[in-house]
Amino acid sequence: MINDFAVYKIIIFTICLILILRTVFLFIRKKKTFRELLVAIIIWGFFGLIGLYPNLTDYIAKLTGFQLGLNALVVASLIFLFYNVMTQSLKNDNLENLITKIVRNQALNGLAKKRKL
Amino acid sequence: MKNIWIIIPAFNEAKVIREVINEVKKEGFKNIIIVDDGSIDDTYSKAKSAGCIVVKHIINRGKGAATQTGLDAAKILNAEIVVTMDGDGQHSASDIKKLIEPIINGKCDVTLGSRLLNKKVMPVSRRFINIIGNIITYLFYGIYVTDSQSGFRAYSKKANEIINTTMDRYEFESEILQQIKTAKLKYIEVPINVKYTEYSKKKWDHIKNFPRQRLINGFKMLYRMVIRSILS
Repeated sequence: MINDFAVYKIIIFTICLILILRTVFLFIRKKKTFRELLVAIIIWGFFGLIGLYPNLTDYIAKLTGFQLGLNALVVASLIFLFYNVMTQSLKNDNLENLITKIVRNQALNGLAKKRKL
Repeated sequence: MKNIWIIIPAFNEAKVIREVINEVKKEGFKNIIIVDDGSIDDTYSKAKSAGCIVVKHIINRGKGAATQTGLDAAKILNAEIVVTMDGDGQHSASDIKKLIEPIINGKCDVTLGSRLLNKKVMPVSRRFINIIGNIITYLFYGIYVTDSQSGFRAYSKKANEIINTTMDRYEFESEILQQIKTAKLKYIEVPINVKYTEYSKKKWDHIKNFPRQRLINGFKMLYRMVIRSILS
């Protein structure tokens, strides 16, 4: 299967590999736990494998009872969308955190001032 | 007597907040911080007139955010022990002593109130949902407790210095457990009572299809935990 060289396979595999390596580096820098590293390896590893062996989807389709195989374009699009939705959610989450920090600082400001007096 | 502070996050709890405060005071705890999480009713004024320290979020940020604000306020007030409890009156103030005792005796840094250790207090459906929450918390954070979503907890000064949550909604309870594990804080679970009052029942009854809503919230919580876990 891997002998059928295709650029998209390399691209998808590389993207997934980068995402795994990114998590590995964060794990080494102790910014990720081993559990988080494991989850990242499983998820991105799964997508990387499908990128490299698209026929796996046929196998999964047969295994699960669907008679329809997914083509590589659909898989790549799904990976892109999945990643995009997740990063957007994370950005949204970070923004929410920032709002909370501002609201909290404002709420505690009076208390801290009273304490200093 | 140690410098003990009770933190009560409250969102639109004007109907019961004074009752909750009085119950806590009756147990001998006068240091109370109410975190008004952007209420649009009289929660702020009622808590203020009851003689508590009240800090107010100008907009609603969620129970997790309000609790963390309360923990930060307790740091400013140099609290030696902090207890968090809900503002809707479902927790019994008489359990506070049970929660702080192991910390005062130096047995642990954190006590976790557990509704599931007290078999009488929780309906089977809620018990089931809680067990699922416990399993998810274990899978993500590697710590198993009998009631991962309980908001009735007590922290030593050391624990309060370490704990700093970033999750604003209900998943912060699990995040605290993760931080307890990471910082290797000693914890003990303590059985607590829960009062399912007419008020708390009505509060949830007005939400149509409450069980479905809980399920959706559960999925949202899981989704946020997954995203944080693999991308942040």
